[in-house]
This record gives sequence, structure tokens and C-alpha cells, in this order.
Amino acid sequence: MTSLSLILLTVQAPDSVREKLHTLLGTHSVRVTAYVPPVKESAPLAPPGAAPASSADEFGLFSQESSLTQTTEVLGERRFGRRSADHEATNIMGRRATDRVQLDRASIRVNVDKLDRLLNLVGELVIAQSMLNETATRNRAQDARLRDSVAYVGRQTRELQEAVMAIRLLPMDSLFSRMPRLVRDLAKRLGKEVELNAQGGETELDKEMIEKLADPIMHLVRNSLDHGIEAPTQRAAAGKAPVGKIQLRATHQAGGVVIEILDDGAGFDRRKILAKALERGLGAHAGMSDEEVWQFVFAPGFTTADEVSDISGRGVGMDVVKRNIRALGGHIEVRSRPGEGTHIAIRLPLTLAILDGMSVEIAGETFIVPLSLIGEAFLPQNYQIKTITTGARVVQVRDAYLPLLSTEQLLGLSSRPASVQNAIAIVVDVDGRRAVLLVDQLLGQQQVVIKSLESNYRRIPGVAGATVLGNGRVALILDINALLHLEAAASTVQVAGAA
Amino acid sequence: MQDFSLKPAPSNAQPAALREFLTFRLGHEDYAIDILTVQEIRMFESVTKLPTTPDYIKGVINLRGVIAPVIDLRVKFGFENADYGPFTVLVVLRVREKLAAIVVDAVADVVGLTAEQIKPAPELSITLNIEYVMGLGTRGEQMLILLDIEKLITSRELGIFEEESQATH
Repeated sequence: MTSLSLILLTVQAPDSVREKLHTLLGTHSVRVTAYVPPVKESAPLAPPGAAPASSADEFGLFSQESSLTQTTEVLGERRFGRRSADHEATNIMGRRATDRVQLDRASIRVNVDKLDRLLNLVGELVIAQSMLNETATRNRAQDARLRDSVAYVGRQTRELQEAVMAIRLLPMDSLFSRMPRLVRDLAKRLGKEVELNAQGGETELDKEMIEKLADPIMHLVRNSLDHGIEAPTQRAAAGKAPVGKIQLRATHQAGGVVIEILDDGAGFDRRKILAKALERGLGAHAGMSDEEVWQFVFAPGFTTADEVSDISGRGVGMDVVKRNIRALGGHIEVRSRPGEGTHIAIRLPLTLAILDGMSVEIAGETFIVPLSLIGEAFLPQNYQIKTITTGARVVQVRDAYLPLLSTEQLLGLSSRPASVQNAIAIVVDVDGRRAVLLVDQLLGQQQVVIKSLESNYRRIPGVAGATVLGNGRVALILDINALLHLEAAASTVQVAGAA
Repeated sequence: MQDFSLKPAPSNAQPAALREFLTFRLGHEDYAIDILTVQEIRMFESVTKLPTTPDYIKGVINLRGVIAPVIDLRVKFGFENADYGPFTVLVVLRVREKLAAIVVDAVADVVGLTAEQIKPAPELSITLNIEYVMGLGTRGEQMLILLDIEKLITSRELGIFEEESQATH
């Protein structure tokens, strides 16, 4: 009897999953109307007085078995009669074998819309699950079986989500691997020497995005090579190594993917771009900042090339590149220094991405900090925090002084610097740049579905996106990288004001 | 939480004679917006504040998994009282495929107005918000301020549609 009720309980999770899938696949008018409101009172899943949970061992075995079943037969027949005492190792082997078999099998073409809906529904399921989890945790789940079941649903939901997500994702390698040949051929024709370096090829991105990115990225690399990198003699004259460098880099940054194209070439020619912009009547004037001047590059038909070649200089391209990136919901940013090179960053929101986050409380609001950026957390002592003359604060962490991000001010939550009293310090690390964030509380670690603010509003400095918490409320995901920039800008202003 | 979903209709299908408006109260005034922009009406719920936004952007809410901004029209139009009571509701709008919710004091009715019932707004109005008033509607004794909600939502100052013109940095 004990084991029977256990089976019923554990099977409930895949059932609800399957129900969702069935609704999804069966009809076309599915509409998720609202979130399941958090259950106020503990609702036992089994009648009171039912047999208590059996040993954890048995439960563990069963869930392993079931997860294997789920992986191999997500949409197919479910068999849960096989409760053999398989070891995990066998399970993994079995899974690998299935993967191989699936590779050999013919693939199915599926309409992307169907996949999208599946992803959305699974996303909603994850939210519903975390609501359930929160309720169970809040009620301290006297019922051990409720607790176990909730944990089980959680595991399965995550696995389902990963499986669904993985359908669409491909590593960037498939895109980067086309570049060396392009660069080699082009460099030969232009008589330039270039070294191409690609990093982060393992960064995964939506398949559709990768396909749509191929042209823009090839265009940008071509531009770097043609306009950016100088001929070896010119480089030598400028005191640079004769071999130019082009670097491609893909990284995950707080819920998005950033693809960067860096070169150490001549950089943009401000004077030339301004002159061309004036000539074409684009409303240019000499007092414009560099950033504004670089924007002209994206104007339709704009070119500064003195002669037109079949490689570039025809004035079609950058505007198309920008349009394509925009169409993917991304941004393109340009930084350039004369003589030092150009840095182009394409920021793409990964609207479907899942983020491992730490939820923290700052001034009464919940925020998510990407877990991958968190180095450590500690209780700061007053003596560790020093104010330097510019008004900026630094925190002594062992033998280093790290800048203190005044998050509350940057986010406009408070005008006063956060108090060290009762605060928790989090050391964040963005590409080797470290800083300290003061938060009031660490609320816990959780996976969040990243939602875009831009789809209905706009980009907000310091915020990478938003997510829906277990209670149905929205929490903002902090963009630590942007906060570092904002902090730097804020302290510069202070220095300027003090001087 | 109850949703009263209003049936969306294609925006170009405007009946020549009768236009339908959703009327609501802001303070002591009656306002009306084109019903075709309204997606649904929901109870006011707690919003998540957004940093560095104007005070009339109350924050964002979760609309079935989609994040949408909430605009408090009472703050935007400079009303003194912007309290949240039991009748305070969110009117969810769909403007050019974007979702946004506005906070209003109470939703009243759906009315049909003929062209004769819509009068141009007087130029002498001293309020700044005349910019978003497309006319005044009369319904018996009642005067309705007809808001050009699409113009308001897409305005630069609201920043919802600024992406297209915004320079990257």
C-alpha cells in the first residue's frame, strides 16, 4: 500500500506535464489565462492518515527511473511499471545509447511557432512550479510526502525545460567556424596580414538567431579587415605589429549573448565621417560626441571608402547590419579609438534563456543577480569600507580594495548610500573586474526565465531584464556590467564636480 | 483576480458612424479611449518599480508571462490624488503590438459616439495634456474627454516607442 500511494504521488508530476503538452498539441486555442494563485493553506496531496513517505532511497530510485523514461519518451508512451533497481550509471549509459539511436534516426521538421508555444508553456509551468515550491516551503510542509513531491516536480520541470530549450540552441561555433576562411581569403586579396582569434564558440544561441547573424557578422568582419586593419607597412609606420588582430568573442552576459568583434586597426576616422555626414546632409555638426558621430556609419548608403571595391565601400551594409540586429531584438554598439582599433558589440537578448540567479533584497525590492557573476558573499565590517577623496567607496576584501557599487543610488531606490549595518556584501566579478554590491538579504538561489523589458517598454540602464517570481510578481535582473559602467560614470562626475 | 477580456478587433475596421469608447474616471473627470486599443481590464495589483523612470511609470507587471509597463495617468496628468482604492483598475492596452497598462480610478462604461457627438477640444485649455485630447464627447449631461491614447502611448516622453529613434551607446 505504501509503495502504491508513492507511485501515484510521484506520477502526478509527469501527468500534469503531459496534460499541458496534450493541451498544447491537441488544440490551437490554448490560452494561459492566469497564474495559479498561491495556495493559502497547505493542501495535502494525499488524504490525511495515508501512509507516510517511504524511505528516501526508494524514492530516489524511482525518480531516476522516471526521469530516464521522461527523457526518452517526452511525448510518447509512458511506462512506469519498470521499477528495477537500476544504478545511476546504467541510467546514464542507457541515456547515451538512446541519444545515439536518436542521432541515427531521421529528424522531424517542426514549425518554429509550435516550438515557441511549447517553450512558453514550459516557462509558465516553471513559474507554477516555483509557486508551488514557495507555498510548500512557507508552510514548512509538515507532510514529508508533499515536500518530496514538490521537489520531484521541480526536478522534472527543470529537466523538461532544459530539454525543450535545448531543441533550439546551437553553439556559436557553427558560425565562427566560417570566419577563418573568409578572413584568410580576404587578407590575401587585400595584401594584409591578419590573425583571427575566436573565443566563446561554445556559447549557445538560438538556431534561428545564429542563421540570421551569419550575414551581419561576416559583414562586420569584412569591414574590420578592409577598413580597420591597415596594410603591414602602414602598421609598421604606426609602430604596431605588422600582423593585425581581429578577435571574435561570444559571451553570455546577464541573460543575453554579446558577440564582439574587435580589431586593432586604424579605428574610425572622425573627421572623414563628419565630412561625409555633412556632405550628405545628415545633420552633423562639429560639436558632436564620438558616439554620435559613429552613428552615421549606420545611415543608409553611408560610406567613407575613397574607392569602391567588391569587398566593401559600396555603402550598403552597416544600415542593413543594424536593421538585422534590431530585428533580432538586439543592439549594436560601436566604440572606436583612432589608431587603436574598433570594438563592435552586438547585444542579443536571449528572451528564452534561463538564468541561474541569486535573488536578493535591496531597499525592500527583490532583484536577481546572475549567479555566475557572484564570487563570494560576506558580512562586511565597518573598518573594511573606506571612502576615498572622490566620494567613491571601496571595500577591503582580504588584500584587495574593490569599488563599492552604490546600487541603491544607481537604481534610484534611495539617495543615501547604503548602510553597512546589517548588510551583506556580494563580490561580483565581470570579466575580471571585481566590485562589491551591498544587499539587505540573500533570498535564495533560483533559476529564472528571462523576460525582456524591451518587448513592451525599453531598455533600462542597470537592468538586464525581468523575471516572474514564484509569487507571480516581477523581479528585475541586475545588469552588473552596466552598473559598473554607471558607477564609473557617477564617480567621474563627482571628481569633475569636486575639481 | 478577474479578467474581463474585451474582444479585440482589427484596428482598421472602424465603423463609419459609431465609434465605441471605454469610459473611465480620473479624479472627478470622465475620460474615454477607443475601445479597440483596450485588451483587458484587471484589478490593480502590486507593481515592480523600475529604476530611473519618470514617476508616472509605476513599474511593470506580469501579464501572463509578459512584462508590461504600468502608467499612472493620474500622475501623468498631474492629479493631486493618486491613491489606490478598491475601484482602482488597470486598463491593459495594446498599441502597435505593444502592451501597456494604465491606472485609472474606475472604469465606467462602454459608449458609442457618433461623429456629431464628438466636438473638438477648445484651444484655450491651460493644461499641458491638451496634446493628447482628441476631442470632447457629449452624452446627455455628461462630458467625456476623449484621449488619443495611441498618441500618448507612442509619444516620445513615455519612452515606450523610443527604441526606434534612440541612438545606441
